[in-house]
Amino acid sequence: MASEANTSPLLEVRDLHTHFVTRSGTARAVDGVSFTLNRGQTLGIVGESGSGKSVTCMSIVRLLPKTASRIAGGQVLFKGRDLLTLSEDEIRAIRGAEISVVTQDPMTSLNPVYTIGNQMEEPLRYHQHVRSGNQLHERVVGALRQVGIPVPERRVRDYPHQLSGGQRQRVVTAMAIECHPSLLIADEPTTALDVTVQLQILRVLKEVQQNLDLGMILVTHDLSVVARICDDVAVMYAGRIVEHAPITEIFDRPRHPYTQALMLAVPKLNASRERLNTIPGQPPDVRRLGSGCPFVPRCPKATERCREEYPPTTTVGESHTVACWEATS
Amino acid sequence: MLAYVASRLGQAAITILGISVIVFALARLSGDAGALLVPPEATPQERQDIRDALGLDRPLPVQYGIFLKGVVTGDFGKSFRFGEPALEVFAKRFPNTLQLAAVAAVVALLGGVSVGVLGATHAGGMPDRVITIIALLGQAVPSFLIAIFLMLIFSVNLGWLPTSGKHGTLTYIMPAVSLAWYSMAALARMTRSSMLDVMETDYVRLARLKGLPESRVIWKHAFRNALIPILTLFSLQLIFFVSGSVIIENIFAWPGIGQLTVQAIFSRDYPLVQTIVLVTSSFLVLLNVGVDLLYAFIDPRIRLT
Ligand SMILES: Nc1ncnc2c1ncn2[C@@H]1O[C@H](COP(=O)(O)OP(=O)(O)OP(=O)(O)O)[C@@H](O)[C@H]1O
Ligand SMILES: [Mg+2]
Repeated sequence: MASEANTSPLLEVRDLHTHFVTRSGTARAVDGVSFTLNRGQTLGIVGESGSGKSVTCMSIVRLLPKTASRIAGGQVLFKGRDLLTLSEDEIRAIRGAEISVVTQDPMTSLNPVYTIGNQMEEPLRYHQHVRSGNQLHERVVGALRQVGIPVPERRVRDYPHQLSGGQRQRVVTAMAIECHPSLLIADEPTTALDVTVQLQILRVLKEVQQNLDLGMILVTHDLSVVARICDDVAVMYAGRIVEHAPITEIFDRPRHPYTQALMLAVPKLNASRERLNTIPGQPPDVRRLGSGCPFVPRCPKATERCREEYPPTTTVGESHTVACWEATS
Repeated sequence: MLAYVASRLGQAAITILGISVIVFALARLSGDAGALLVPPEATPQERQDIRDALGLDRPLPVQYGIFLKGVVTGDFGKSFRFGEPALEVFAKRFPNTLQLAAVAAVVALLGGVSVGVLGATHAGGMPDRVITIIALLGQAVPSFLIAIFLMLIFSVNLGWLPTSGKHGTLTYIMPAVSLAWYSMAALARMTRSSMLDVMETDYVRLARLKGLPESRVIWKHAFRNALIPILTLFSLQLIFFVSGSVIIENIFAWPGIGQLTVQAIFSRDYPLVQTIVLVTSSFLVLLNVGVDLLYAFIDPRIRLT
């Protein structure tokens, strides 16, 4: 076991399928996603709204709406263990301890009725059984200092509404790393923030990732963010990864027509807050996917074959894979 | 925080003053206040004495001053029916009503909240459906009917509980449950919907992402936030626990204010009615101030502004 844990990647997602059962049909929100992530590596996931980025992240930690969702297949191997087969208690022991998630909205992510200190102590109490008040205080203050909160001793007594959005996001980040996880999932951690604050938060995330040698998944709409801090990029469309490559590869040689369209949309995003909606057409409804490639209606290079059969994922370069008939023919 | 307390107390004082004006005005509106405030069997001499004491022949503001002075010094006049100071008659009965109301309030709050939380955490499941039906019934069936049903089942048929009076713990059960019934159903529904809202929030999701056990997520992170609308409803219902006692106390022969009110009205005992209205409503106003202070305790955003 131990040797396997050492040699296997930090995270390996294999053919993950997550479905939502709705009145108007089953939504294949994640439809066969696979990727690997090593320690110290940052993977960016990009794609339009509704492409399944958040659902992929939440499937990894198994926190999806209980009644409507179902992980229909696949494996999520974390340090060699399949998270999908763990009991509820076992996965809970991993959440917030070994795998932490930072989500989008710092304004509403902290509980308004408890102090920062109170909320930050919880993971330490539950996962590491730290009991002494002094020790808790020191660890909390230390984590806050790490994310660049000034005078952290005072902030621990504050309530969330007394902090700015950027500070709250730093607090959430500090809370995510205080138990020394090995995987950090950041789902659009800066979307709701001002541009200057966005840059600060990204710098903090990058710093933390490097200092703690974390594996990090960064979900974003913003390719310039990807360029700045990711090693690899996975481009998602309609619940699948359509292209996956190291950062230089993807910017120099994008192969999938969707990725190419995303690249063209980039210069118009100089304010970096706008969404990637400059590609003509709409993303498909994942409740009504056919057997062909879902990008067909928007694809300039679509052929008859694309309409009928989904393209296999093919290796086209060093760690560069793409799922497109045209790109590989 | 101090400003908050001061402003709440100020508002309460104004409300109570308003009530005193209404009670004062009601006696005067009916034409001859003397006819209401003087016992029917009084001699002409006594009649004149009381009229002088109340200043009934002087201008209204002066009369109000005299009335207010009486209230402040605890002099509400003599009860016609009991021949004792009205405030003393009231004070003897009030604790009985308070005890019953307190037991009913606790039953309603604990019952309503636990049923509501159970419904919310099992939303859509079997317990939730059963609870929703019971809660609907609770709001549709009037409390006096519940009282009569309870009495039929537990006193008449089973013989487990005494039908009336206040002597020992057992006699509390049926009046308290009947009094709590409606409020418990409403609280259960409010708790359920409030909890469902809160369970969807980002901070509850973050609590789960931190790996906290579900019980902790529910009771620490969700429940305290869900509590504000629940408390608001509860504070509105506090009045009901006292006013509802008029019916319930008469059904169960409970020696409290509810029963006393009916007796006072039937015997046209205006000083006593006046006392009951003024003291009971002042009490409820102060109780609401207490609830407001509780909000501040629960939610720092209220406390710190
Ligand atoms: N609670 C839900 N109930 C039903 N369907 C859902 C639910 N959550 C997500 N989905 C489906 O999953 C798809 C992917 O959603 P997801 O949130 O992963 O998108 P995303 O890529 O994160 O988008 P965004 O950029 O807007 O955050 C959606 O198109 C939707 O159809
Ligand atoms: Mg998302």
